[in-house]
This record gives sequence, C-alpha cells and structure tokens, in this order.
Amino acid sequence: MIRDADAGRLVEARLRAAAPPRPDPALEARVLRAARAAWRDTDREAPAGLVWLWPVAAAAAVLLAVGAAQSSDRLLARRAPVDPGAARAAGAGAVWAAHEAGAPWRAFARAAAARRPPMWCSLRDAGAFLGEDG
Amino acid sequence: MKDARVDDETESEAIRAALGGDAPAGIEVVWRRYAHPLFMFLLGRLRRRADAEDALQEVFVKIARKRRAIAAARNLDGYVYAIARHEAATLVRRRVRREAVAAAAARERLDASDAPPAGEADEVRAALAALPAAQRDVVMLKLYGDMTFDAIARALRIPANTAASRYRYAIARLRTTLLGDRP
Repeated sequence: MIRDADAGRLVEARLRAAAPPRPDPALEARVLRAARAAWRDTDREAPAGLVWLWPVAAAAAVLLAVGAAQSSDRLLARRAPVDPGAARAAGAGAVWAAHEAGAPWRAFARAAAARRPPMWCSLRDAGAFLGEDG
Repeated sequence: MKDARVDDETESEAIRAALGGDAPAGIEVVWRRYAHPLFMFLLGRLRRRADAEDALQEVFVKIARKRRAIAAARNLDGYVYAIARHEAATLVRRRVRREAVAAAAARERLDASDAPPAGEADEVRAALAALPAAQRDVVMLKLYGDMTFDAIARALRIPANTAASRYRYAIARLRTTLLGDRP
C-alpha cells in the first residue's frame, strides 16, 4: 500500500511523462491563417449585432407610412367636407373623376356615408348612395 | 497566487483589446494564451490528434468571427471553452455519422479504454479515456494545460472546489488503473 500523497505524485509523474506534444509550428501557421481570413471576412460583412434591425426598421417604416396615409385621409375628410347634396348632384362619376385627378375621393365617400349608417362605406357604396353605379 | 491572478487579468485585458481592435494580427495574442490548453482540452475530448487539430482551427475561426462578443464577455475563458466544447461535440457527431456504416467499429474506436495498451503513453491514454469526461477535462487542463484550479473553474464554469475534487477523484481512479493500487 503506497501512501496517498506518494501515489498521487506517482500518478501525476506517469501522466506527465506521457504528455501529448504541444501544437507544432505547422499547426500554428495553419490555424492562424484560417483565423485571420475569417477575421477579414467578418470585417467585410455587416456588423452581426445590427442584422436583426433591418426587418424591424422595415416594419416600422411600413407602419409609419400606413399611419401617415390614414391620418392624411382623416385630415382631408375633416378639412374638405363635401356637401352631400352637391355630391349627389355631381354623381358617382364625378367621384371617380375626382379620384382620377388625385382628389381626396374618400372625403366624398365619407361625406356621403355620413348621412346614414354604416359609418364606413366604400367608393362603390358611395356611388350607390349617390344614385349611380359609377 | 495573487500575482498569477493579476497577470491573468492583465492578459485578459490584452486579449479583449486585441479582439476589440481591427487588426487581424490580434488573433496571435489569443493563440499565445489559449492554443496549448485548448489543444489539450480538445485532445481529451476527441482522443485523436488530427481531430483535435481540426477542432482547434475551427475554434480559432469562430473566435475571429465572434471576436466583438468575446471581447465584451464577462467570462472570457468560459466563452472560449464553450466554443471548444461545442466544436468538439459537433466533430464527434460528424465522426459518428461518417462512420455509421461501421457503427460498432466506430464505437470501439471512440472508446479507447477497450483498446489494448501498446506502450506507456498508450496505457496512460487508455486510462485517461476511461475517466468520465468531466474528470478528464480537469486532468487535461491541470496537468497538460498547466492551468490552476481557479482558471479551470472559470473555463469550465464550475466552482473551483468542484474542479479540485474532480481532479482528486480522477487521480484516485488513475491510481487504481495505472498503479494497480487502491486508495
């Protein structure tokens, strides 16, 4: 029976005697060459931490555009109320013509719809309300 | 002991600075600190020198790619050894798949403890291979990687006492295997 401390030292000595060789210069050259190439490649790519921002930025831009369009519609509807009587006199064809000319046609539709439910009505509903099928 | 810790921290700062910089030569600073112990760790995991060399290359490529995240990591050693562990596991899985045709033979090769020892080094290698992986990691890093228990604890993300006890258990097992002596 060997003393514990001596046995431990003996085992360690045997393990050290069979130590695997360190990485050799050829391996060092190979590994460093590959690592430097990877380093340069990542320099050329976009910073990885910001990649996730692209879809978020795109979604935010779409939401902003939709919001802006809706609020401008509401503003136009508020600022340019159309007299339902005049709209009826003009007929749905005029709604189309106004739309083609870039006018806020939704203002016509909303103004026409304001006289009876439903609150929201499409261009076609507006035309029907105005007494024409467009 | 305190001086070793201060040196260690100074070296860690140098590595963070190198990885946070723009010069690809910064990878050489990482090589000087990690190449040897990482290679020993990978040899312990993979047993074959050629596989350990391939894994070491992959680990350094990943370090270069993730250098900014590594430079900002709280536990630098832990991050680097986590990459090495992952790479070793990937290589073992790939190796097993490649050798699926001769699965039984492949399993025998992976478990070197069954291989008949041909010489002193082979006998030691077989004894090490028969250790549980957690104990083998500590022995490889302590004896061959020249790391302290504190450094091993950081690298493997375990308490230093656990690293020390795993080493003790491993030596006790190796005592039985190599010396034919029971503690």
